[in-house]
Amino acid sequence: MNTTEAQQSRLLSIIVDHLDVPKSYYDKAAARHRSLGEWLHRKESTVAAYDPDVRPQGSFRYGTVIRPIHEGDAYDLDNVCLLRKLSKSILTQQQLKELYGNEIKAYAKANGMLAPVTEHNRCWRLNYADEIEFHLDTLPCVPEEAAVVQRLVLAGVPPELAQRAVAITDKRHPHYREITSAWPSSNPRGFAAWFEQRAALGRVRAQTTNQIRSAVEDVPPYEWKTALQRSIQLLKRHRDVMFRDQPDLAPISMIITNLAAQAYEGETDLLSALRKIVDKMPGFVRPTSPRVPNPADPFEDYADKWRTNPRLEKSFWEWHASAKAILDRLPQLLQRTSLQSDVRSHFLVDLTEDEERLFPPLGSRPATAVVASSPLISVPAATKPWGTDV
Amino acid sequence: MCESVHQRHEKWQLGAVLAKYPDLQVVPSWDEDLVLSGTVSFRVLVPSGEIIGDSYSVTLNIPSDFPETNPSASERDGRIPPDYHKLVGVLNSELHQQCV
Repeated sequence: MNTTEAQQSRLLSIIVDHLDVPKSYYDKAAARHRSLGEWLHRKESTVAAYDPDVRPQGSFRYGTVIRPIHEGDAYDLDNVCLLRKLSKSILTQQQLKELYGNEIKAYAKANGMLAPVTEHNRCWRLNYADEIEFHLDTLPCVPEEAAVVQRLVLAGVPPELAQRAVAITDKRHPHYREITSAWPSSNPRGFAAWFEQRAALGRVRAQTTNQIRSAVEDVPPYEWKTALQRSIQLLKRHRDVMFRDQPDLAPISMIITNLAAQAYEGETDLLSALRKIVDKMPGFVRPTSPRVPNPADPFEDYADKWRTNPRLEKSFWEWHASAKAILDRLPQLLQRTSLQSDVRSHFLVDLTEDEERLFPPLGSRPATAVVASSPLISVPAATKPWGTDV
Repeated sequence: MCESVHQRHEKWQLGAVLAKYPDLQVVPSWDEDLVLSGTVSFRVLVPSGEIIGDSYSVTLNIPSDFPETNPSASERDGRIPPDYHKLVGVLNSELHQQCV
């Protein structure tokens, strides 16, 4: 890595440090998952007999959480509650959703949560409002039947991921109120395990090059801070900033996380990882449905909304082109007098004066507003370059 | 098979445009058009040998069926009077621009 690349990587690392949340936030999130799990197992619980197993999901599990762009915005927490001793053959999706919902509402009441529990298509949402504002989306589910797991294995999913598939509830499902085996299938736990395998590529490589000393098992995945996780944080932040006026058009985090993890090849350096991810990402978007399949369930399409709203696909590619352009321009960015405002413009991050001083001009930074690298147009003779009809 | 958005961007060399004009950014929109907005800086080498530098704040709308339909460009700070002139086909053979 040459000096310029080292500076680029350093700048990216500093930006990620600004976006990252303190470890205490992860601890707080873990405590909330634990607390809910304990509630579901209490003696009076109506679901305790079904052996509920609460596992975190989403960015707090993957270690890709970033600060919201607006101070005070809530963090999204996700978990999956698998009722291990329940089967879709003995109740409807609606019955499971309501059974679980009653427990969640009782949990909110017992914990003095003033904001109402809200029902979403697939999950229940708890709204916390203490020193760190969280939304917790909790998804009830039951184990998927063997035939479905086998179908995933035949589709190429490793058995250890396929067996994590679950049957979920969805209010929009045509058989929501019927006892049937035709429940929506999903595999968020398989995706999380797959993601951790991908992130571990960088961790193992870092270990072999003595960049880290502790064993992989010593530290939970969300604390690994591999180049994959940090790259995703940067990409998500650029997404948040780019779409802050049109948030409904923004590519969803699961698409970014999925594609980034597929493209990642274990790079330990942030610049190398981000370049590889951004360059290779388009190759993992399939031309036909499923466009962005869950690697732990290829029948589940994270880009299913692109079918009904093509603007979302257009937005994804615009975001990707923009992210790639920023990365390609990094060397020029470091030479401009406007480094601070460029970083703010793309990531809504304010570098400190000390941080800015880490990036002295690599050459001579142009002092004028019109940078020396602007395209040069030669006008050899014409006095009216716009023609004669003026 | 119809052209994908990604293929269209590649054909238009969107990446090269963004690299060449670092202060030009993609603006998300609900339209089919690709919208670019920001500052375009340039230098002009005039016959006397001097180099004049300037920059304009612009918004470009590139329709999805470009080049069949021309893109439009508007200067946002009012430095060019709307009745000053119209330009057609001034950039290159593939990209035609209309001042509006």
